[in-house]
Amino acid sequence: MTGIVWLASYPKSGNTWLRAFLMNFLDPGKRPVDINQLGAGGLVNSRERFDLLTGVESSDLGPDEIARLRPEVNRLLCTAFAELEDVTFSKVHDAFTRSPEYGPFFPSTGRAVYVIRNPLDVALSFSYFMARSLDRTIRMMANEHMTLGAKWGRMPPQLPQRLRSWSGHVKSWLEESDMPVEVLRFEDMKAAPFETFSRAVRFVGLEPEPHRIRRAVKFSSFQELKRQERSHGFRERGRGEVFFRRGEVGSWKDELTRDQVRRIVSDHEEVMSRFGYLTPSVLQAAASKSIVSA
Amino acid sequence: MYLYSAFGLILQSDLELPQLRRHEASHSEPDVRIRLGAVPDRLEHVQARGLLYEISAEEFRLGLDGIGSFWVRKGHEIIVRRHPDSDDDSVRVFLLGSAFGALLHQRGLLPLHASAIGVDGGCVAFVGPSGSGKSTLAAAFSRNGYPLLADDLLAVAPGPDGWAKAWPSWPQLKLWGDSMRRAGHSTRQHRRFRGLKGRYVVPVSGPVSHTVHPLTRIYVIGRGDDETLTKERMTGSDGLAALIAHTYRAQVLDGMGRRPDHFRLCTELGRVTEIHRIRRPGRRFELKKLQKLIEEDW
Repeated sequence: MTGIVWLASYPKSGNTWLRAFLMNFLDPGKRPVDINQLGAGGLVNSRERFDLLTGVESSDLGPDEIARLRPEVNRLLCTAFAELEDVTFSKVHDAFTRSPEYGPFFPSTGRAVYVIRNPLDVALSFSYFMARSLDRTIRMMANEHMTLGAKWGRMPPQLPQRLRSWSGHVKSWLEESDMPVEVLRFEDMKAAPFETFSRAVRFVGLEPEPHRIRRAVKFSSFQELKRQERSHGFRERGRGEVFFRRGEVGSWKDELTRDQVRRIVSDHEEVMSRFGYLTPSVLQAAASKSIVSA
Repeated sequence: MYLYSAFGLILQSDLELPQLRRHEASHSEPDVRIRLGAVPDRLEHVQARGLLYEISAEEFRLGLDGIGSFWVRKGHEIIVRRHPDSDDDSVRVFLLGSAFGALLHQRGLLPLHASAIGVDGGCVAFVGPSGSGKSTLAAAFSRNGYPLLADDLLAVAPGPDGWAKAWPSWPQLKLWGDSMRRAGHSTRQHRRFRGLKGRYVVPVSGPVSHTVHPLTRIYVIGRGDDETLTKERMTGSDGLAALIAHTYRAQVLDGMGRRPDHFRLCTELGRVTEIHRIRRPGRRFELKKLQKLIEEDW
């Protein structure tokens, strides 16, 4: 199978982990792949590639002019990658959007693996990554117009990434895209890595040979990723001290206030329920009297 | 009709181009004519195309919705069809950008995506990916009294006696708000670039130079993975790769069939110019330290 497989997710949901797994799965080496050599990043958000394919500089264009051209730039990219022998993985945080005039942001010829993670844990990890308060992060996650890299007054190194809200992001890929999408829950990747990653490998059209899956799971384990970051740093670190922080399921229990839990649940109840995130402990925390507002 | 000089060429233009230096009427024929006129929707014998452009062996066409189209022919002529709603500034940006880049390639020059300043009669150029800080750096040196030679586009060609010639473009900087503040300009006093938020056009107040300079040094500026600032002389092959990578609008070369000539130009230039690599911290931009590190070489 050839063409592009989008590794799509809201930020801090396990995308880098999936990428590390896939690169280790493809790499026959005896040692884990270097986390700074994972590739597969920045394809649709690269200014250089946009400039190359359009023939003008994105820094000379206004946001509307750029937005108008991007669906077509992405179509060109997909056509080019469809001619390669192997499948190309590309990590994206952009929501799946569609302009009535210029068509879908991601061409329908692609396929996607979508990683979803409990928004209670996402909020913690995202807040740490951006070095912003939890409350501000929770507001961002509820903002349907959220776009990364669209700050005025300085040139962001990448083209803007339209995120939408956390729920909007999930729905955009699962309900509004017209390409095949395989959903992986971060929590399943953690609890049953062998089965979950095998499913992803099968979806992209590769043979999930058990020994290769086991090796890739080991080489992309949280301990290994953290070890590598400690020893030589990770380029995609963000504003926090480290990129790989806890990588756990349920950290929200020790780190979010009841009020914060309640707000996230109220903002994203429908989608959370659909993916099994409204567990008794979540509902209990959300229902209890708030420590903060009491 | 306006007469200008840029890149060692005399340009005759239907459009006013205030960025460029006026050329006093002379008897010599202009090298390039820029006129308003009809532009075909498609070129014939297209060899390569991108989203907004097409290239044949001797022609280049660029079309932007709501702005206009540009037809660059044989290195001698640029025909511009303006969109009725377009403003002059927007037409000039793409005329003096991609269209001029293609024209310089057609003329066999090497346009570099570079900012540049004059140092002791020579030209020092800064190249690097967008956002690496090359305009900010040139702006800062310009404020310290070094003549600004280019902000975005520098035309280079091998000279007769073993050095490379560099022609300045126009004395104007295009800066984002944060670079403006870093270089000590107030955002309030300056015109917005194409009316866009957060971007400004800054005319150069310091000295400028319009004459051809020997190109003495090129600094390739990049962001590193860590927090250190380093400088090293590049090897011949790395220098060559950097010149190829930082050629202005290099994607047009394939359609023109000029890759082999381009490679030769870059090889020759790499032989006669010192090329250094600067890695600056990925997260911080310490302008003064960077300036000091570079000035040590002069």
